[in-house]
Amino acid sequence: MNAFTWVEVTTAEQAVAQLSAARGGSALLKAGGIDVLDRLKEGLDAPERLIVLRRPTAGSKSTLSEISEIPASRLPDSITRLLPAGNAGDAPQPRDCLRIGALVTLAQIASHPTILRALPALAQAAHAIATPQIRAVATIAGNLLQRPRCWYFRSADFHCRKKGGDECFALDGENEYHAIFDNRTCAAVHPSGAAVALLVLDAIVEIQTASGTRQQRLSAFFVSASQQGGDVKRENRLEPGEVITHLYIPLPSPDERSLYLKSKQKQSFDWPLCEVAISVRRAPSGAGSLLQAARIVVGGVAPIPWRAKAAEAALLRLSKLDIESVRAIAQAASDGARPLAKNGYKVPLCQGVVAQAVMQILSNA
Amino acid sequence: MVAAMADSDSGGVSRRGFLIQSGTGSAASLLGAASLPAVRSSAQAAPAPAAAPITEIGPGPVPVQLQVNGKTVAARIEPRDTLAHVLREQLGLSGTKIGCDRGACGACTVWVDGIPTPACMTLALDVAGTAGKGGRAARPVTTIEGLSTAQGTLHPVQDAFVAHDALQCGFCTPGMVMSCAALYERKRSQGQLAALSEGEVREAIAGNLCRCGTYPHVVRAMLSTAKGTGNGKNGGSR
Amino acid sequence: MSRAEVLVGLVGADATLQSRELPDGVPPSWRESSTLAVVGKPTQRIDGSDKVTGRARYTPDIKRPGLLHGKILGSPHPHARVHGVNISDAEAQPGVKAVVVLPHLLGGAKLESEKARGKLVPVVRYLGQPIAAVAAETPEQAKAALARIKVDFEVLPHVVDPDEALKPNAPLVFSGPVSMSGSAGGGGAKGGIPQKGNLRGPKRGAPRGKDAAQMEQAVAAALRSGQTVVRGTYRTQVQTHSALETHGLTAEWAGDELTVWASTQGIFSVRDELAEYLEIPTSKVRVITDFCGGGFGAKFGAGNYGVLAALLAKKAAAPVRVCLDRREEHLAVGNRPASEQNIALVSGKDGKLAAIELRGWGAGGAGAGAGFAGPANNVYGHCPAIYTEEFDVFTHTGPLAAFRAPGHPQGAFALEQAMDELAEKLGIDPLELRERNDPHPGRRLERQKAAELFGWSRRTLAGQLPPEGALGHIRRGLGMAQGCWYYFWSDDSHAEVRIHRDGTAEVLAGVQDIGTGVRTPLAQVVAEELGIPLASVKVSIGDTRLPVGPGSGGSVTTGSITPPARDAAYQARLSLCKEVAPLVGAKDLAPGPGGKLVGTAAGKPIELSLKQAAAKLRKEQVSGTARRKPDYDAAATNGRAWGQTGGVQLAEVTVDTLTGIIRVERIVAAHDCGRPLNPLLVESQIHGGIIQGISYALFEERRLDRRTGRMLNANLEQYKIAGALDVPRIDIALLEDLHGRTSTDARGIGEPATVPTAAAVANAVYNAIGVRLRELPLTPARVLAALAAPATGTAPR
Ligand SMILES: Cc1cc2nc3c(=O)[nH]c(=O)nc-3n(C[C@H](O)[C@H](O)[C@H](O)COP(=O)(O)OP(=O)(O)OC[C@H]3O[C@@H](n4cnc5c(N)ncnc54)[C@H](O)[C@@H]3O)c2cc1C
Ligand code: SF4
Ligand code: FES
Ligand code: FES
Repeated sequence: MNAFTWVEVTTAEQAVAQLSAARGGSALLKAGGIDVLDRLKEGLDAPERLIVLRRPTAGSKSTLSEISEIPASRLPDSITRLLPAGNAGDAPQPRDCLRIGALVTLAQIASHPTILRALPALAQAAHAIATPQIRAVATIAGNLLQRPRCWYFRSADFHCRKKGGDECFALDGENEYHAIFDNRTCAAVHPSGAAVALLVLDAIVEIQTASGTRQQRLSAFFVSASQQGGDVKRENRLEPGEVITHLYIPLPSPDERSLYLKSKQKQSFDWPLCEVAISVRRAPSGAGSLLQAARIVVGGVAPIPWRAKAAEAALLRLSKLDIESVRAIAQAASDGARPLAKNGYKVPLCQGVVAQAVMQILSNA
Repeated sequence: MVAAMADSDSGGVSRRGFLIQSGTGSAASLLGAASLPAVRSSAQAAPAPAAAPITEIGPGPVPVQLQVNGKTVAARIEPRDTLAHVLREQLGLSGTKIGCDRGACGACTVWVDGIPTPACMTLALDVAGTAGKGGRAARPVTTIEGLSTAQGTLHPVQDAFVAHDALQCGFCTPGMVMSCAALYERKRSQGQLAALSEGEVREAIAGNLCRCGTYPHVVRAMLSTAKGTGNGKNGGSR
Repeated sequence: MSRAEVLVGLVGADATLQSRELPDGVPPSWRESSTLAVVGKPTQRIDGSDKVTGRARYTPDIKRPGLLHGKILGSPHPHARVHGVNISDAEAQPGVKAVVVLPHLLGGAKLESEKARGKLVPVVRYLGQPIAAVAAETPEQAKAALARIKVDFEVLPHVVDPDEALKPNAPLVFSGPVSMSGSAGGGGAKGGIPQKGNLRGPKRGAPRGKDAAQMEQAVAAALRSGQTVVRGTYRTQVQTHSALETHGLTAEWAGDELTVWASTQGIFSVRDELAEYLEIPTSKVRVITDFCGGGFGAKFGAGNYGVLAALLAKKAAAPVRVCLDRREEHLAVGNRPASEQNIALVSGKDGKLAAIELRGWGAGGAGAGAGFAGPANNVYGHCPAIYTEEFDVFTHTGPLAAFRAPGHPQGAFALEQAMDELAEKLGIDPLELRERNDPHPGRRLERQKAAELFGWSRRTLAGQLPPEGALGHIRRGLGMAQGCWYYFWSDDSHAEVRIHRDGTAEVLAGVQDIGTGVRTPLAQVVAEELGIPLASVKVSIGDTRLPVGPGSGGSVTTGSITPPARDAAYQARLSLCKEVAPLVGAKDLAPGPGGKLVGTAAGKPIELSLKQAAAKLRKEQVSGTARRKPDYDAAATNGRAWGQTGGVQLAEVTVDTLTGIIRVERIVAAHDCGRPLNPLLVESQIHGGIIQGISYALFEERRLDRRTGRMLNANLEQYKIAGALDVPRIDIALLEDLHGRTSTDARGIGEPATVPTAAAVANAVYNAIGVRLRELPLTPARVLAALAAPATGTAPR
């Protein structure tokens, strides 16, 4: 690890100021530090200044490390306008939201009563990440913004595209854990388990910029190389110097439910081979189909958390639950997959995990 | 020196605690403002009036204080030093082991604020108290050495580990004990100790790798100590 | 010599009293453990509280005044020629106190020609191969200085994949014939075996006492005989030892004397290797190992890191610690080699094996001796025709080292799956098939006990247990496998026992605790012999100043060191009798049962406890010493395979056919290890063997990038090791198998417990899904691929 100056801040504004000030040298933001330390120890990053965003001390008014329910009446317009519309064409209505500060830990999320009750996919995803020790330290923003876990990228020995080099070692190398979708430039899968859940929950991310704050849907936040003209060096639309402050998640109505499943080789901490989050909204009885809304996001299969749109459409058409239709929905989940030499198994795996998720959420519905 | 730290308007309970501690004992004298050239502080201009000032430390070594096993101790650390490294190499607390140095084995597990934390993935400054403008309180760290009393009375979990042979080479054991003892304390404070389940134990140690394969005996030790039968001298396992 | 009655056999089954010739100076044999006070009882470790409090000091915990930190420069290339090493820039870096170049490499196979040349090996044969090292005040300084060492490499083409290495124009790992010295319990390859390209062999094998050439013909004849044949090709992966404590050593010189603290399984082998390497007298080297955080076979010698620590310490005139990081540990200090095995079994319709043929290669990187034929040659030794051929394939990767039952988990994976397949083909239950071919009395009883505990009768043909789960995607399967290990011991094992005037005792023996807990059985046998409480016995081990003891490998420790410990205690009692007899007026004072001294004084019988007798001593202590005696009456075999321990494991798994994920739900393990001196600790060892076996079966695999030869998962996150949530319910049936050949009847258990696990799991997986997986690890990718392929098994899907 290189020697660096420790710069400690407690607000997002300070962090932004410090990151942009950088004073001619490099600066890196640390939250929980789990990903940052991994990168520093491997020598992938060697910042001159480590900007440490600390949890505010007790008594401060900062909401960076808080989880709170924001009633619809107090929801800022900037968030409201990004909420999903109830019906296509409707203007978004204010809704009760849960606000999660960027420094909230995965352990807090996994055990928070409201999240457990109303947003189970998120609680399950947070609980399935890493180890208890890491979850106690790792923050939600850090989890969303951690760099990919491709083993070529993570080794200082390989100067791959993502680091500015000109080749991808995984494409004709050891790609068993790599992407089956959108994988022609860089096949690293997006590492964040929390992102998969947050996407089906329509989360909105709030970002501190040098000039103020901006908000955007998380569904438009993550980007693959192909979505940004071949730029593989970043995984999201956070601009340099920006800092995530909060996430807003609309609280579901009684007819909505969600769940998250993680398929891992080893049951004690392991990265997912494939993970899936699903949320559905039941249709009123008498409607032709079972559901009026559905979202399926698959992780571990693409450079971004992957919306399985064809499977969603098939799910929406479902009129009764039987094994054959579940299998058909699952088949659709791998539409467009183009596996590499060693990850062909992820095609049936992705179908299998989606099948289980669909079965589970509908039989509990 | 106290004045140097007292300008923060966000001083809460823990900060006051720090002031008291740093005002007593030998560590305090080490922290005289004059000895802290590397700690700089600048009050941040708007936009955040309520924020604490920004503290800059390093990159060279700086004197800090740590609160370990109930004692305040002085150390000189670089910002890049991990907590595991400082505990082992500076404070002589080598019970905390390093197995992977990457957060993947749990051998370095200590408690920070009472919660199992990977000491290899925690920078010592994350828990240290610093002097100077914007200085702050150390966060309490408990290591395996702090689990048993100074008189040598073992924590019930330690007793149970011995009784049920929940250790082989013993290298993972300090971390494993720290994870288990945290679970034990949590269940006890909830009045739920007797209801401890096998699943809870396994979840709690899911981040502690044991290459020797002690897991079944760890589970057995925890379940029997939770039910108050863990401290049998010999053959407690049968 | 004298004849005595000795209890021989399986307690509770066929144990009987037999007359045996006992050497002089040994105590009377113990009967079954239920008649004993301390031995054979589940007993907590006497050093347990050191380990749970963090007081136990391991090598990286040793602090010495002025301690420097050493870091090693490993080769960044898998294959290169070194033309020169320039260290002067590195020497000038801040905090740096010494820089040395490794004079010559330890470990791995050696070219006959290089051996003759001795010093400075100029060829790099694996990535991470140590080249030089730096000692500095801080680890960061040492690491920074490594970058300033200039090595003039001529990079050469490499090959890291065994299949590639076998191709005609593959880069050569060795330019000529090689050999490799072994370490306790495994590895090692004698010279004189043909070698062509990267292929060395065959090493021809047959059961002990049989002629390989004749066996080869007999097997060929059986294969032509028209009886039932099953054939299969099995592959196993490279597994790294991954002890939680990495290899390491701290060296300190005082004049020309060297003291080292080493993480080792063999303090004496470290001493000898250092003395030889540094060309100093053995008596000038002292090795201390209070605690060792696991070894599993890879921690015997001083190692290149150890030699470098000693050289740095000399040059810097300060103590130097060199402890490897996790990456170096994966790369450069040993592994279980990969294998490809082609097996054929021939059997009559009655299920009697007519022949076993096994040919294949092992790939232990730049090391030789990667065999796997142990199970084939030994488990069904009654099969009339057994022939094996083992080859080594060399690659540019770190050399193999002995790893818990070297060769056996690989061999069992092939052999026991082939047996399973044969059973199915013949329509015979797999347990019954073993019954017809394996008369080993231990395994016979083990099969019976394990089957009862497990409920083996629940098993149905492959794929026939009812599907579970909402989508019918969970399949359950039951399988079994068995294994063998050898009864090794080291007769160069010595112990001293001292009885103090206060009635306490001390046992001194140059062994080391690698996690098996050897201090405790040592204390137990001495306490039993002396009739004193366990707490009255102090155990000193882990120092080469103590009487020479065995290295802890090959499961030899308990069987080697507890007999001399007990014998020494007996000798100490004899001298106590001699000292005390005149003081109590009893000429005939002699050791009696329960540690008592008995005799007659003034015509009346007297009886003294050890404590009473010791109190009468006019000197500080009496002591006894003993060396491990050869096994008693070794000619008599009574038809029992005295040289072999057994082990039978039954596994229950579920396979999720949608995700390919396998979960091991239960293992029942039945094992024998002579007299289990401490069933609690034996149970720990068996758990360890099984859990490592599951980890090997399902998760572990060294992953290399072929193009660059680099290891991609040199950590503990992507190198996957079983954790608490991966461990099934484990039930153990432990036999008490008295062989009446030493004063404690103990044998090892560390290795046999890991032999059959992967094979049992694989058989259970087959039983669940009806497709046989012949390659380890059994990953979801392989399960899904197998399920997608057209069925190969004969069972319904
Ligand atoms: C053994 C192991 C297993 C793991 N398994 C999983 C798993 O299964 N699933 C999974 O999802 N993750 C897994 N992880 C990854 C882990 O969850 C992440 O590293 C962690 O969540 C990062 O959070 P952090 O707070 O420590 O982030 P940091 O390390 O502090 O930061 C991560 C990145 O985000 C940036 N950042 C942090 N906060 C902000 C902010 N507010 N605004 C802008 N930028 C910010 C930092 O600059 C940095 O680049 C595993 C990690 C380990 C070591
Ligand atoms: S997959 Fe992406 S991160 Fe991995 S080697 Fe290729 S370019 Fe680099
Ligand atoms: S050493 Fe910290 S988790 Fe392994
Ligand atoms: S006891 Fe050896 S690693 Fe756990």
